[in-house]
Amino acid sequence: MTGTDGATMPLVDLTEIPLTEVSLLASPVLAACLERLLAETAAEGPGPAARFDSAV
Amino acid sequence: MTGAGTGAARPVAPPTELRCTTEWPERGLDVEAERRRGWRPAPMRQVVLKLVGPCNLACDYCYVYEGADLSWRERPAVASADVVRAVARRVGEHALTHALPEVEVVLHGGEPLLVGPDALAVVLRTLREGTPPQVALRLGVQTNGILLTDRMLAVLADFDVRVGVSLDGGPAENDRHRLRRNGRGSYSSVERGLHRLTAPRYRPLYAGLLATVDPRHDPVTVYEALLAFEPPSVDFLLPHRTWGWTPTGFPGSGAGSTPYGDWLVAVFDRWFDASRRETDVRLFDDVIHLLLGGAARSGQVGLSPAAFVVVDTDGSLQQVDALKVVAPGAPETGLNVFDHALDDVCAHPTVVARQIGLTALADECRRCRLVQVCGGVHYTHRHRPGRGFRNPSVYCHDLQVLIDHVVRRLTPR
Repeated sequence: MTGTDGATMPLVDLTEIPLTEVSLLASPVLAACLERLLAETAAEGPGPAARFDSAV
Repeated sequence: MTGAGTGAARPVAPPTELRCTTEWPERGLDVEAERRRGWRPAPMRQVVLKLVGPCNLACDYCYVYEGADLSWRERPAVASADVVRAVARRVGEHALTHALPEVEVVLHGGEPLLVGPDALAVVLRTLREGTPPQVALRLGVQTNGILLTDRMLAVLADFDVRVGVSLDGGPAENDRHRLRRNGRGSYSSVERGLHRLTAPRYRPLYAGLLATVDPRHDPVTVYEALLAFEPPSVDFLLPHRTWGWTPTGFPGSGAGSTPYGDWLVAVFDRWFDASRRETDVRLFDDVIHLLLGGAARSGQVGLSPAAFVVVDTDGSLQQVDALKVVAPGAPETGLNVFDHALDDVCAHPTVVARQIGLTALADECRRCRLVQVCGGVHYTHRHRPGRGFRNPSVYCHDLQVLIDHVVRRLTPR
């Protein structure tokens, strides 16, 4: 479960998503989301934080 | 998600009684007990500076002018040079104390560009020069876009300020709510500002668009009208409403009608099924990211600790200003930027309540299968008069519809 740092246990197992080269090419949105997940997993520094509602 | 409370709520006017300090979290949240349990304050990484109180628009849903807290009338119209200097000092001090590599100041209002380009340059120089050199300061402005003249954009470019613009769709949708004081729509003026902002010279400043959802509008029409300006990102906001001042078209709990959820689902499908990534949609990105085990970047979903503070034009340090819809005085902490460090804000119960994750949520939320994704949704939307903020969101069922839909789209069978 979640602590106070915002990190979560996944509700969707990555293995449930039909991730193939073809499906990622067909879904650039999903591909970008996975890229973000990988980047954040690898990143160092302060953890996640909720930002103010703005488009900035 | 959970059943969203009891009893059918009807839309009512914004509350007029003073903020009730007998409600949770100001009554009942034991900050020291949370520390003993292991919670530690998350440092502030974003300061929202209300540079100008008034606005050149009169949007009918504005939480600053149409909400319960009308304290803007009593405050200075423009933040003084002393307030701006104090913000720079506090930001630098906080960043050094917590070894933050980067902090962000977002100019907000009212309409922050009403200050004019010359005064804006002074403000931005003060912020840049007042921040220690070892701290990277990101600057941003959230504007209605009307005053994005070439001269204003040149100043924003000089100080590398990222620009977010509020726009609710095409002319018909935008001008239903985002009106000038004479009742005329604002779309054509915003469109001119956006054309200047998106020209090659200033395009690097363009951060994205912020749109408030009205479920009476066609969702795909709204989304595609926003896409016409090629925004790097779009964020959709649900109107700031509570159990004491319910949303337009609110059906009452358990009625099975989820107009906001249905609206978001339609936009999600249009976004998700596009043959190229046309833009980021922060809410959708966050929902997917949370479903896959990541953390959210916004306060709309997820359990990431809130790491921002609002400074009003008089230097008062406030919580999220959307709380202005809750009750007069609801955003106040009683602290100010002259006498108090940002660490003092981090210890305030109302701020702690947005940093303690699951502990801050209602029992029914904590038991919910989707709690790690919805996170209780926006803090403001949980408020119920007399009971405070430990309730499901007034948009609980709507977000449930969206999240379940995203799960189905990610795992097709």
